[in-house]
Amino acid sequence: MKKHGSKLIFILLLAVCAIFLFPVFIVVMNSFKSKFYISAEPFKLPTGETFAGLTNYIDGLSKTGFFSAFITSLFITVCSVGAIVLFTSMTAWYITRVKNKFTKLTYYAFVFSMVVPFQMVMFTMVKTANVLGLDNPWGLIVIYLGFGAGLSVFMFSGFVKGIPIEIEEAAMIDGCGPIRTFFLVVFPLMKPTTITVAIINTMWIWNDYLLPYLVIGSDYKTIPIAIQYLRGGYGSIDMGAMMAMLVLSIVPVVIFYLLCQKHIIKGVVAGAVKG
Amino acid sequence: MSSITLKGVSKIFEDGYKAVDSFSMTIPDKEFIVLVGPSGCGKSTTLRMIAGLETVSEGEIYIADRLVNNIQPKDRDIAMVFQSYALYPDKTVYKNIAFSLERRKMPKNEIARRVHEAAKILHIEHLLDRKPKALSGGQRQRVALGRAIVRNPAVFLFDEPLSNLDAKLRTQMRTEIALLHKRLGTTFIYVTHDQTEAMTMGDKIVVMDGGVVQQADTPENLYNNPKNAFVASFIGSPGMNFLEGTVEKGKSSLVALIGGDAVPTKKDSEALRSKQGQNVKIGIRPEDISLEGTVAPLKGILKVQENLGSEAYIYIEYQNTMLTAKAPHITHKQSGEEITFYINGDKMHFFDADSGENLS
Repeated sequence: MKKHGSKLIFILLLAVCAIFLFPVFIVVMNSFKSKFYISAEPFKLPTGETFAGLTNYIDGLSKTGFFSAFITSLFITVCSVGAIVLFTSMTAWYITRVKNKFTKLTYYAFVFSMVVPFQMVMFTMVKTANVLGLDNPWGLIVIYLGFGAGLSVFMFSGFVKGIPIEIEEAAMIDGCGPIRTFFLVVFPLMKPTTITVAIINTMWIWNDYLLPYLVIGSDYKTIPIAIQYLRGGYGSIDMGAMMAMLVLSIVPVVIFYLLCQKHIIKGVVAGAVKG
Repeated sequence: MSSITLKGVSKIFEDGYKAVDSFSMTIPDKEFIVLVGPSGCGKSTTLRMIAGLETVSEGEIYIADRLVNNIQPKDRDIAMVFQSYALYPDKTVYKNIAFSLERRKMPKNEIARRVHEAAKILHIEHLLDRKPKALSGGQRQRVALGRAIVRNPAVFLFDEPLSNLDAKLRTQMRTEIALLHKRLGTTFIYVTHDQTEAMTMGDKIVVMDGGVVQQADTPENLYNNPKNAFVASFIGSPGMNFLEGTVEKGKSSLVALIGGDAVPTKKDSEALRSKQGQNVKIGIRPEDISLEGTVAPLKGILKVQENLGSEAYIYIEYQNTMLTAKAPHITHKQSGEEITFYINGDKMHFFDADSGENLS
């Protein structure tokens, strides 16, 4: 009976998996098709006649300035995620360990920021960024830190609550001040959460279109903006190049995810205290 | 010199709760002091104030004649072993033990030498490459001890270090910690709620209750001359028996009257005489009740007998109170039967019925 049930779940998961992977598959498949066949026969596999080889990729790379967009995207994503992980983990540690009205209020402010939709603050935020001189890649990193902080602080706080305080006290006796206690003892323990936070933020920052378009779109192109430029005037779109560039833009995130995946191990804290 | 002096130390928490009330004591260098008491008596809070993990609300703490009230834990030259071990889970045993030495920027070869020396003392040399989660409870406790001894600190603090171990391991580690104290010759302050641990390990025991020191004395004195009924009941296993009664003048000595029964006693004091005819609390250790004797036989109902092999505990109902007697072996009587027993009157303790102060 139990075996039967697990088989059913397996089949169900397989079906869900197929549904999720189908769009990716369509994009990859069409990136190898000649651009005129993409809109005509989007679901057909490329055959001798429709197969375009790497033409779309070469086309796309030359038209979009993909490499410079890649560097811009990489710079913004890596720095933003780095800043988010560093600052929100410290913040979460502080507001979890130091209990007073201020930290409580701060925590709720972070949680509240998660439910405010981007579109609501979009225009005021862009104007503010402009006034403060944040309309450049460095400024964008600061803005991403703000948008990513809510969820990240929330996740880190949850994890810090599970770290036995005795470990930190032991570190204090062993010769650590607060900064060393954090970086030498607490932060290494946060690894699973750090990786999860990094993956979540990498995905949305890497894929984000609207924020960089609004803030730095006129001077710098990230990959999503560069791909968007493949939409020519009067509705003409180079579908082939677009598909190819989409595939290229997915690859780094997928690689990053696969690299991190093995590090997400539950129960890293197990063994520190009794049990 | 690493003596510790506490002068009127109190801890009042933010909610107004007074966990420790005017704790004053001088702990001489190289002594093994045990703080013992029931949960919430303030023993751990006292220890944490000495460690610097808790601020001192009132009073002063000196370690080696240096006022440490406002000194960081890391600068107090102490080492602490926690109940939950508090090992760094992501670091190997070697790194766990070496951590404090690395923080003090000690040369690498010196660190290695010290870590191996500590590991050798604690028999954990073969575990140095493992991480805490791959160790058993006893091994983790040894690593926690290793982390403390590697530093060569002025004072060792132990916060119920054996509570998470099983009974057999606990007895074994108890001996090892006592041996460690002899070997290192450093001041040890040990907190426990287990009076057996306290009695077997400490040079001196501090019994606490409600944040107040009840008595600080050697194990023998605590056992034989408890200052009050609380200390008398807390120290000793099985605990002291208590009966209500009065003290009257007998022919040649004082006599304890329990219900209608009279038990003569050689105990005598001003305080005891002043309570003649008034209700007092009479304390009798289980080993001072026997089933064989000549003077003043008492009758009770046998309830339960527990055979421990080398000795037996006999539970007797007497005047609506359950008494525990320690006997060499169990009797042939069945539970429910009447049994004759004798109380060693000279070993009785008399306590004030209200304050609980020892009168004898």
